[in-house]
Amino acid sequence: MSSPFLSRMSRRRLIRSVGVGGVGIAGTALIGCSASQSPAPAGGSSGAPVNQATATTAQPKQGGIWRSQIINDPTNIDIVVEPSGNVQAAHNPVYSRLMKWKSGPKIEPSSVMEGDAVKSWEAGDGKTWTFKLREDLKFHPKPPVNGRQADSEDVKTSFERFIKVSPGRKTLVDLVDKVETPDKTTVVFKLKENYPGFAEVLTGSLGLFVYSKEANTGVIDPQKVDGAIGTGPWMMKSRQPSIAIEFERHPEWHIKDAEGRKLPYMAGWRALIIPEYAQGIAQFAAGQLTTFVPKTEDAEGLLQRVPKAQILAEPPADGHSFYAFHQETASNVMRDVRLRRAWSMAIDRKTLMDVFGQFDKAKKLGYTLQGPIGNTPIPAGDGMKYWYLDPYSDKQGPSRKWFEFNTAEAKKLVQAAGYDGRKITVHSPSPAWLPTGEAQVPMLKEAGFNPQLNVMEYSQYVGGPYSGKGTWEVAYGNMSAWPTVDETLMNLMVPGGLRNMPALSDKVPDYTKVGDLIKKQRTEANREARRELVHEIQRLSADQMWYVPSINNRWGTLSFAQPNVRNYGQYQGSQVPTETVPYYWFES
Amino acid sequence: MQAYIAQRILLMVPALIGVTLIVFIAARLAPVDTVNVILGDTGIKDEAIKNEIRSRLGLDQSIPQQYLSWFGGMVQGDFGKSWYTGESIRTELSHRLPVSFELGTLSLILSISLAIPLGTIAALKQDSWIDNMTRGVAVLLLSIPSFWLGLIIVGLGYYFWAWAPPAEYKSFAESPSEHIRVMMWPVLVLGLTLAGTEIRLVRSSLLEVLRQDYIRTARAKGLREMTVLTGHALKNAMIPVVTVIGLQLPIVVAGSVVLENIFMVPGIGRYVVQASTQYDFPIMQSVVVMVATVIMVSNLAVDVSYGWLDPRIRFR
Repeated sequence: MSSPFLSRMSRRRLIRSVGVGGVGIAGTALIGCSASQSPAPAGGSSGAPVNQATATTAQPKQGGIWRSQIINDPTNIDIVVEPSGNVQAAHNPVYSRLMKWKSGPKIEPSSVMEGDAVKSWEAGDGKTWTFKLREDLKFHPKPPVNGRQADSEDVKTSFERFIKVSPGRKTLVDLVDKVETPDKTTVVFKLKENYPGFAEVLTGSLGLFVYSKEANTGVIDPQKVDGAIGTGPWMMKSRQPSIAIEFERHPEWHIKDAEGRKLPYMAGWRALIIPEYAQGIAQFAAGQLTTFVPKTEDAEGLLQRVPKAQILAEPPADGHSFYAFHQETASNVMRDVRLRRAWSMAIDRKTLMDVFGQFDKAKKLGYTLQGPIGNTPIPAGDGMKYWYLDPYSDKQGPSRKWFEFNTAEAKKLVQAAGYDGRKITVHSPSPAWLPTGEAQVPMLKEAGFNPQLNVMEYSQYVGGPYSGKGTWEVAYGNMSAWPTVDETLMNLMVPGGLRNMPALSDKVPDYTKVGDLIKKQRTEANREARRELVHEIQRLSADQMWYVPSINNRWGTLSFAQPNVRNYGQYQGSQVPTETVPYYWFES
Repeated sequence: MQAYIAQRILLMVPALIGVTLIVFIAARLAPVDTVNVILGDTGIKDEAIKNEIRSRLGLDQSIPQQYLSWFGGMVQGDFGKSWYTGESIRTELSHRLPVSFELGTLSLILSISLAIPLGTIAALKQDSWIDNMTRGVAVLLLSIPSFWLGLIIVGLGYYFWAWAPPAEYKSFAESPSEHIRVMMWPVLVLGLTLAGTEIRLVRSSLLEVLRQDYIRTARAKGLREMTVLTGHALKNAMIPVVTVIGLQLPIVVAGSVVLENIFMVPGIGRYVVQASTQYDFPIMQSVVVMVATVIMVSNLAVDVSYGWLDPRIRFR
């Protein structure tokens, strides 16, 4: 589709006017958290991809230290006390979840569920879930636990501590009636209602992890390095604030490779706390970091300095970027569905993604970066791939047209709604949203809107628009993904949901049918049938555009690894410490 | 003199109480709900959980109670706990203060070691090419922000040699050579940028002193030029220089916020940066009070040093 906006504002001018700072910094933040990875990238327009990371069939070697970057000091090492992305980097290498996603060559991330701490599970009648723990599930060989086998009491007490202490306990509190331990390796969760997606909830990276009885009863303190004892692949050795967190491999980790060899292959992992982007890229060039995600415009320069570095084109991490329109603010003109649709049609997402993602720079190296647009409310990304409906596909149905860039049509809708040109305040949680926000303002103005960007103080944003509270018109921001499709729908689209930003309820026109479908999918045991329900929710929701998907930080990046890393990118998963890094090894 | 010092120390007490009040009230006036910041992405709206956190942080008490509790603790050397990590602020400061102290002290020593000889030579060779060059270098150092110089060092190292400063801080006890490799870059950058001001001050102050009657008298007595310079001129020329160094002293305690970030030095500066992004007020309050104390003490030290440098100055 031709772009009338671009006829007045060339692409080069757009690049200059909005700047591209922060692209790489945001990408860098993926290291050490939960960046999902794509399969090997396809060739770009200018030839084969340069230094593409490939699979290796050679015999893995043990040893070596994986060195990654963390941008900010983790403020805690116990995710029960502080369930945040910041804490994951220190916590998640140490502990196991009950369930995980299978990773391996040619396995699509987040597509095949398998046991982590458990060897098998049964859904029973949908209300009674029985999990059998692995017999080889052992804690780290640190006192006072000393490498003993983990048992059902450890899981039960972990659950009890979680629902008592964790600020993120809502999902499990709402779902679980009680936990029983008929024997040492069996844990039974009795749910309050039939819930087919329960096992998926247990894959969550901020949810239930297996701690020892000693930690759960206060014998040891999981907030201290000495008390950080789990059954995960990495044992915490030291934590030096503002310097590094050091891990050693768990010698008895229960997960083995396809040939039955022990994992992780590497002897240890050092997560270096490097807040500056310039330092990060220099440290990678100097060989001090094993991996690094540069700003895409810096990729070519980095390759010149590390000519044999391996490159992987990665999709954006799972998450949302959208505008939300508050439906409870009586004076909000954006309660009119025509205006919300017009808002969506006014945005040239493809061009914005191309410009901010610096896709042309990646193409020079032969890589095509991805920049998929989320549907509403399911984000694009590996984690939700199964449930996501591509809004530009035929399956989207009639609501597809609201995603297409069409200023003329948007103008007609604005006029039909009788919008009087009054100021519409668009709130963001930090200045980080301004570059992409400012680039969209002229597009919205072209369609007849009068948007005014406003950076809100973060805690006010969290207590207001982010929670669907207060009086406001439009919010523009990002949001981390929930681990399961049900949590996504329940939190974003249901009254009482943690992030029901538009304040959706039966009082909102055309919501009731969507709400009913959300309830229905919760109890649908057939996965295929459930997916069709989730697709229908996306179609109906997109037709209403309570959330208008945007592009901020939704672009893929090029990830670099040192030349001596093997298996890089072949094992992909949203939980890097468990599903990815244990399989990497060094050639030298 | 002793009475003067005692009087100044006594005056510090109400000043410091004033600082604690201003810092505390300013933090409470900020339109920030710390509980929302702590809960962040979790999206918790449950007031019971929020109240639980408020109670843990002591935010359920009245503002005067909160202040008295914090102030009372501080008087006993207890700065409280971080709202985020729950760690003792005193413990954290005890790890970080020596690092910032070392960075600041070495930088000051470097800057003074450069400033006194260069400023003196420039003054003695007034309007020569040496003077012009020294002045040029001083202006350059004065004009370059330390963070920019730090980034340039990292950037040039990366661009030309794929080099980077050491990625991990090591204490001197752990590895003396690694420690020096880590600290040399921030010390160099901070020392150079501080030296710019000092070089110019030493030069101008010395030029003024060299024109004084007592210098002419010393020369007329037949004293050697070196004796005139070291025995009579330099000491007197140091008064404005000492004043400026006194103003630079807080860096010794607070560290250089940006340089500590750039060169990954785990000092007070990084601690404060992290605390400010998380609205961790107890940390910010404690560091501000600590810096205020250092400023007051260093001002006193500077004032006292005037009397030693110039006996004509008397304290009443």
